[in-house]
Amino acid sequence: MTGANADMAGSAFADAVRQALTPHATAYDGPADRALAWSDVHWQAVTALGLPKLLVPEAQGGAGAALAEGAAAIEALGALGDPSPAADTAVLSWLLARQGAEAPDGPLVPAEPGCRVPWPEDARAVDPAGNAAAPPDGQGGILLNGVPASPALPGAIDEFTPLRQAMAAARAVQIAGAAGAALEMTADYVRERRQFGRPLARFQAVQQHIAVAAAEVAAAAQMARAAFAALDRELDGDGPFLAAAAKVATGRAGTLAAKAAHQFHGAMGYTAEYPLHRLTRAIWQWREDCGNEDWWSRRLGAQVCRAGADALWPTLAGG
Amino acid sequence: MQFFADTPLPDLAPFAGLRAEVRAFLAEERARAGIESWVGSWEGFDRGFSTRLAQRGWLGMAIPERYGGREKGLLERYVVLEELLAGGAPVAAHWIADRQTAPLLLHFGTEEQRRQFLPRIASGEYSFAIGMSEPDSGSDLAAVRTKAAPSGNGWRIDGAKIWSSNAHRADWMIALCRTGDTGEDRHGGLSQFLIDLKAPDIAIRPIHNLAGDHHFNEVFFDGHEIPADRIVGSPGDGWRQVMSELAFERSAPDRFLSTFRLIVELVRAAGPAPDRLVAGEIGALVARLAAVRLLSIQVAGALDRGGTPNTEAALVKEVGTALEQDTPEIARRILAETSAGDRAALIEDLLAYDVLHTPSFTLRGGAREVVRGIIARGLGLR
Repeated sequence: MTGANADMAGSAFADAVRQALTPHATAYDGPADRALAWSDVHWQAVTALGLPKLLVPEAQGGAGAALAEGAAAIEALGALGDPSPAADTAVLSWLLARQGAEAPDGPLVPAEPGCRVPWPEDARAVDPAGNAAAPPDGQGGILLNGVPASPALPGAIDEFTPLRQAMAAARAVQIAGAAGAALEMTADYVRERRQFGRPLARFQAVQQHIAVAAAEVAAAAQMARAAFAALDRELDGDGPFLAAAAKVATGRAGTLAAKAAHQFHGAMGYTAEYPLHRLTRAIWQWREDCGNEDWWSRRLGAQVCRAGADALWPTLAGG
Repeated sequence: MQFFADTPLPDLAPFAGLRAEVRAFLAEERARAGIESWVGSWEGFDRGFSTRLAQRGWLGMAIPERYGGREKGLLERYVVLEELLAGGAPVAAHWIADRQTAPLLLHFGTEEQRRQFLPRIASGEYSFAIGMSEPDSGSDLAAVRTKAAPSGNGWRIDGAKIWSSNAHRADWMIALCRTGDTGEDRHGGLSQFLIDLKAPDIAIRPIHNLAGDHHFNEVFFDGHEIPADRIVGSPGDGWRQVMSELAFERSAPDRFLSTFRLIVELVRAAGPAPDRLVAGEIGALVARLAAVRLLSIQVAGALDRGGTPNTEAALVKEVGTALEQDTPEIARRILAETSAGDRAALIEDLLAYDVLHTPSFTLRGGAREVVRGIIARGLGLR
């Protein structure tokens, strides 16, 4: 597997991510009598793909991929439920490069008050302003998706920061990937699983519930991809309108997708054996990371109201 | 399960100048009408408005120039549509003709039909009504019974159409009629016809909705004779035609902007520094709106490329109409805590209108459950 290069289309690179990381992401499937973590060999695969420096400009030693291409790769990570900080590292390296700083090698995590994220022991940190920072001490327990968490950092979580904004857009894209994959797994399952003499998929109640979740996920995924692609512009702009809308929309849609997925997998989907929880636990964790949908909807609403009623449509329409 | 994963979002930025022109036009129109906001959005039927819109070149935008149109792409047209709807403009006099009839005749009509009808649609002269539903055939269009039988040199129509909005004001109807047996898939034997609604032997009975408005009609055909050249396409093409029309109907901004004026006034009522609960309600609503708009733009892009994104259009309708139906409920929660100040009368009007019209949001263009069934089919569940 060769690393990313700028000529590789977003979808081709997403395929490469899928191929290279599926064995690692799915290695955590199975009995969950242990805290999940990512193995060294998993991180080596992430590195070999060129993910950490994917978005760093070529002049600064990265692959120079466009943000839209990065979104495709991060959505692929999300669709695997990949628990490693691969997306975090890609986004934070980009943020550092954007500040003119050099991104260190190895996993990077956001050191943001109120943001508890995957926490490898050898991680470097990035502070709320997007600068390299000393790693906080210790670990903070286990995240919902079973990985060791960064410590809970003290500080205000009242306002968004560039870090929170960038990470929210990334998590939104990851949720879109995981929610789409969870619904795909569910559609496959209800076509196979027979009850009352026919496949579950033949029941209208089942069809309709999945259709509703699929529609919300389709819209939220558009929002997430657009927000991530526009990150650079939006970080320089008046506020995180797209990033906020993306975190809110994917939080809502991801919740609906996880609910539908578990409902139709029945008790089987609730077991540690069955791989659905790799996706649904990821959704439940990622919707919390760096501001959940309620936190972001209040900021978005405040921002919309501050700009005034007559600015709403121009903001939505992008001009 | 991903939609448009590898499709870049169509870029509407090149049309920023056009947006500004449409907004200025709407400001002039509001001044002309002496109002600060339209109430009732696209149900307003105003031929004068449609004519002035046509004069600006914003009607028949997707119709080729040789048929009197402006020969613009569907994305450029999309920008005008969403500006009109976001402004709450009274577009009903031309909406059906521009949205459905024009593409129908372009794709399936004869050269003569295109020459006769398209220039008059582009000028705002011809208003069209939809003739799909029947008393015994609502969402189940395959059950249509209105019959078109060969008669002399033409066709003889017998039956009734219902829920035809503005049929009492429109000039023409596209009527879906039975011309043969259904066949095994239930979709055969249907054809569409151009019907002159001003014909004296067509009876049009008003049906008032629960708000007291007269938009709906029942239209009766009792041996109504039409010439042979009024059939659209070939006998039996009706089902395919209707499905292609519905992709336009289901994905357009009228499937999520119906309550937009109320949202604008809610933001005004909330003021620049709302409390956190109000801010949260508004933020959640705006996030949903922003998301469905992007999906709708993707569908417009697919239509512009000549695709038939029927599943994707149904996704837009599902998410968009749910948002529209939730808007007045959210408004009630916000307004219980907020004074609307000097716009109190306007916001009351908008809220009352939306509350009374919410039932229609998930019926028009195909009932919600039918739309969900279309999505389910697209997902391979049926």
